[in-house]
Amino acid sequence: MSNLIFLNPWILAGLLSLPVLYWLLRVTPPSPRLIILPTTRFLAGLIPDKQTPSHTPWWILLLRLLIAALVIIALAGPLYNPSSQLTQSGPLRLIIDNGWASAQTWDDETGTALEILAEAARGDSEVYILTTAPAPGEKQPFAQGPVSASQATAIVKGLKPQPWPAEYSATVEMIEKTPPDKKLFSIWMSHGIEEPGRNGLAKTLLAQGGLNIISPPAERLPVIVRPPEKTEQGKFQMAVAGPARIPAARPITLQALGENGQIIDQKTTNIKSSDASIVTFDTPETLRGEISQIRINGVNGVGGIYILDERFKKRSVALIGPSEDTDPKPFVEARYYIDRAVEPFTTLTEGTAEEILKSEPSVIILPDVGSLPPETLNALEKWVKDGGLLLRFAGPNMAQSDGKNFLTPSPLRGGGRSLDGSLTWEKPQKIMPFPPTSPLYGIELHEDIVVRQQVLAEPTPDLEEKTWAKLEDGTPLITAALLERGTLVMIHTGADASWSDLPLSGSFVEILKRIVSMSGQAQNFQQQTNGAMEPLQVFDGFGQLKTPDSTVQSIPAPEFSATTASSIHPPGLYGRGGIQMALNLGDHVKKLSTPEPIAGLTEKIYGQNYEVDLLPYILYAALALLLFDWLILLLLAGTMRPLLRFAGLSILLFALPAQAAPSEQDLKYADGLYLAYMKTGDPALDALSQQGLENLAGILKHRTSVEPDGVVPLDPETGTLIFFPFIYWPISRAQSTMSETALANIQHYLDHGGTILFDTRDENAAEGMNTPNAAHLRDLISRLTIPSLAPIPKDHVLLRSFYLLKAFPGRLTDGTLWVETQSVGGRDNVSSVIIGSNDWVGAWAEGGSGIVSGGTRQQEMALRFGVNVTMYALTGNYKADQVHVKNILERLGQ
Amino acid sequence: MPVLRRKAEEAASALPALMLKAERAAQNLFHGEHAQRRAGAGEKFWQFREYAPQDRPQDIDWRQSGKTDRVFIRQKERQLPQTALFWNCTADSMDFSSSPKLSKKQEAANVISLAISILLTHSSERVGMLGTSQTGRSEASLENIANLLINPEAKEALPTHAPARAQKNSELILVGDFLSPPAEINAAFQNLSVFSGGALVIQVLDPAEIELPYDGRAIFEDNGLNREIVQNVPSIRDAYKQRIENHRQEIQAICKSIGWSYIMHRTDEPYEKTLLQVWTILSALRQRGSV
Repeated sequence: MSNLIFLNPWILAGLLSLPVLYWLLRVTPPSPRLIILPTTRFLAGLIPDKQTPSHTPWWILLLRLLIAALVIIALAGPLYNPSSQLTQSGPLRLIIDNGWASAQTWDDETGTALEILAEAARGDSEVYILTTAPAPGEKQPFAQGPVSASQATAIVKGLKPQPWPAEYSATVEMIEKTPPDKKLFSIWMSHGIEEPGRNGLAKTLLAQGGLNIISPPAERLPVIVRPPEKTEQGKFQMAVAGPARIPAARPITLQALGENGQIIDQKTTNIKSSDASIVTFDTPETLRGEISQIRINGVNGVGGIYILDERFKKRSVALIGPSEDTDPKPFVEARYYIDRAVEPFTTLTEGTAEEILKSEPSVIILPDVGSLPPETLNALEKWVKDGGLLLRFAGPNMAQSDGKNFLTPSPLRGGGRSLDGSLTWEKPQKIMPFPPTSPLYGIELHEDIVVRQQVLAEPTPDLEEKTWAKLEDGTPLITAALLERGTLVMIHTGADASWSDLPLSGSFVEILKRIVSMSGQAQNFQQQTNGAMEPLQVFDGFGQLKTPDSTVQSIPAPEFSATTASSIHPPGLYGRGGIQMALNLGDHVKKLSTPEPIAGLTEKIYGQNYEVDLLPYILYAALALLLFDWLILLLLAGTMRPLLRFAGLSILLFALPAQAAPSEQDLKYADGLYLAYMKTGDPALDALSQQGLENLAGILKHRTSVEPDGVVPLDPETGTLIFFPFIYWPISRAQSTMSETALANIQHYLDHGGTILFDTRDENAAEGMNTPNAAHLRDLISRLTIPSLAPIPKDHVLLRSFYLLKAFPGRLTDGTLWVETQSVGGRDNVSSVIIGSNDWVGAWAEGGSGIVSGGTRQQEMALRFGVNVTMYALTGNYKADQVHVKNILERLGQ
Repeated sequence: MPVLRRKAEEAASALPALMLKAERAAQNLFHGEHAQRRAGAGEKFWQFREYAPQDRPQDIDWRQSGKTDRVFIRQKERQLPQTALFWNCTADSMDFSSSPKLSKKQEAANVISLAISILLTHSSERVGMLGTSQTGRSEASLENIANLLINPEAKEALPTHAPARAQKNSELILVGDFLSPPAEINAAFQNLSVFSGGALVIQVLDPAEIELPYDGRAIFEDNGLNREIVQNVPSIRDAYKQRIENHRQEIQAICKSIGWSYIMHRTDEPYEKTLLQVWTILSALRQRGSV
């Protein structure tokens, strides 16, 4: 019981009053009841046997004493597991680490802090709160004090971790600037990671009145994600690093998340204690472009997140095309080839120049455009100058634009050059392999590629440097030039197959991929000193992206790569003009390690157990007992009897559904396949049906994979029909008209997929169903909802579901078979009702086992019909597909 | 007036139910042990007696006379038209039942009275209410009785009216709880005994009144007159039961002293049992009276 203390132990003295209470309760009997009795006169003056008052039963006494004892104990303020962090009274200073690493140990830190504060509240101590990470937008961390313990509790509950590292030196500076006028005992909720200045802070705090440091246990030490590294074959790897003390084999799951938070890939690894654990992602290239961040699952805060920026993402490529939104014609239009080539690795949009410029793509492709309106041209030029990449293709339109060229790497000659035609001597030219100086170096060119027409560049002095690819005769095929911060690339042949074979080859895809990946990397881009990266989205301490507030400042572009996360530059996405770059914590935080122990200072570990205040629980228990006592009183006073009856009734009501459990028989029928027939009330006919269906079951077992478990006679009034795929119903005048229940039962069966084969057994169905049996059938089922019926068509599935049949003889041969003209949806085209008159059971029963070894042909055919009906009911229109085989074959032949 | 009207309506609506219940009780009885006694009532052979000069010649039984030398006449049972007069206690104490499952004492008394009157009319006897001059054996008489049972003219704990002159020597059927002091009961019964040719006293009591099946501390009240606080009911139960038993014994003694019969009916017992006893006693009365 050392874990249990009382805040107000003196109240326990109240327990001494229990004996008095016992005596009082004992002599106070329950209040009398009023009973009306006409013979009251006879009671007058009766002397009771015993003079003592009626006793309260001993167990009620015990119950009430228990309630009283519980209330007294609760008032004494019992505490389970009282925290003993506070060893000294007097003012207290709580240092709460709230840098990025604290997000991962936040529950430990605040939980312990609140516990200490609860204890401080009991001691009525003054409290100072001090955090270690700078407040947003400021250099110095947040501090508050002196406040009361309850105020401090509110403050601690309002604290949040920050997404940047703690600044211990700034903290030291702050507390030294305003030293406390008295000794302050400090307790430091630490996140357990060494950061510069930690020792200095510890010493200062120690000097100002004493210090306790509480650190997280080794298995909960913070970790961090390192930047990705691309490895060979399109894979990339991420590293997760933690301090060396972290126990090995703590499992870590890394998730690659897309733009909208969907999980694209996920890898699990066990952390290694020695160094960073590497996780390799082999996400397919097409998906890789969509990854926007990598996150450690279950780790709070920015330490567990790495955002991938533009360098990792799909480029958005825009194709300037016709204003109408039409699909490109396959193999004819240039658009088609470009679509097919860039689609796998980019997000491609199409539209007019105006629309496209609004969406700020990283690459714009301009296939064979002769002229553009001047304002569009200006806008396009401005976009290129701001850092865009414009990729142009030549073509007939461009060749006719009379040398008035715009936005090309070098001036073009008017008119195209045809290398293959009746009026030229020249032969189609092959492409020279890419020289090592070309950015396209390394792409393999298929030797069959020839270029038949091209647009020539004016020979200018710098043409040679601008050329990325040449034809074998030395004329440039691909030229490129920088335009301020942007890039212009020109392919001097068409993007369709009319001018060259290039678009037909795989090299085309490779070339385009290479060119697109160069966007946003114009060499002079980062030398531009006046550009500033504006914050777009930044993380809060728990790793949630949010829109930045005024405390977040923009970062000058050239300094971006050297900038570390701080209170004015929280990690997140920064960007301008279509360029986005990520500021990640993992890029700059040094190796994580645990601090060296400080001399003369014991460090504690965050406890597993928190203090529990038992007061509410004990009071609840007392309240429950009090209610119980009240119930007992009611019961004793007799007022409960109606209530009890009600309770009994409700128990009965609850017990009722239990009786609806399926019967054993139902379970049996549900478990296997049973053939079923309706009992008619005519014993001879019922015996015939039983015999006939048993024979049919034997045949089914013998010849097909249908293996019926038995034959079941059914009564429409009481039987559960739904377990049987089809029911044979011979019509006999002995059968009485059905009740409403029976009709509902049968209707339910038909509506839920059942099939009934009615047999009037009189061969006369052909004559408009005018026989007495048919009339009886009509009587029987006239109140059922049955779809319209028609004589069976020649191509009905029933005639081919197992055997190919032309007729369906039973004991009789000439009756017509009626089926539904159109099956209700969801029934797999199985007719719910089949009506015939050939007395099949007659034939089945007569033929019987003999048929296997050769009965009459008619009996054989009757059994075949039985097999077909069973198959039809079981498999539905499975065989009906064959009806269309001819059509399908014909269609394939075309 | 509206009150009277409403009561009449209520009575009219309660009447068929009461009739039905009593009829059923009477019917059950006829199917019992005494059913054959009813056949041939009024035509019973009594004895053969030797012819005397004052006898009418047509009374001679020739078949019997032929067996011997003497002449006999056939004497039939003497049949006097018997009248039964009913009285029901209507004191407040009758309006009581200890449990909703049991009928009230008043209701039980009414059912018993009406059932007996139905039985008697079946045996062609005249019935009527004590204090009224109307008697008869028709359905109308029954309805009259039922009406008066449900709608009594006055609240009476003990019978006060004497029978009318013409009804002298009628049988009396007195039904009630008879909880009044024995002296009062004695006075009332002595008064009546002068005018009657025998009486049957049926005491209707609720089981709770007999057994006092309560527990713990309780305040007992009758209809406003008495109020007793009992600290522990079980402790006085035996004494109470003894008192009630004594009271019953006293009533029984009173009845015996004036030659009346006494029956007790508990409201938790079936009517048939009581009616059977009644019938046995009435049959005995008949036989005794006819001698």
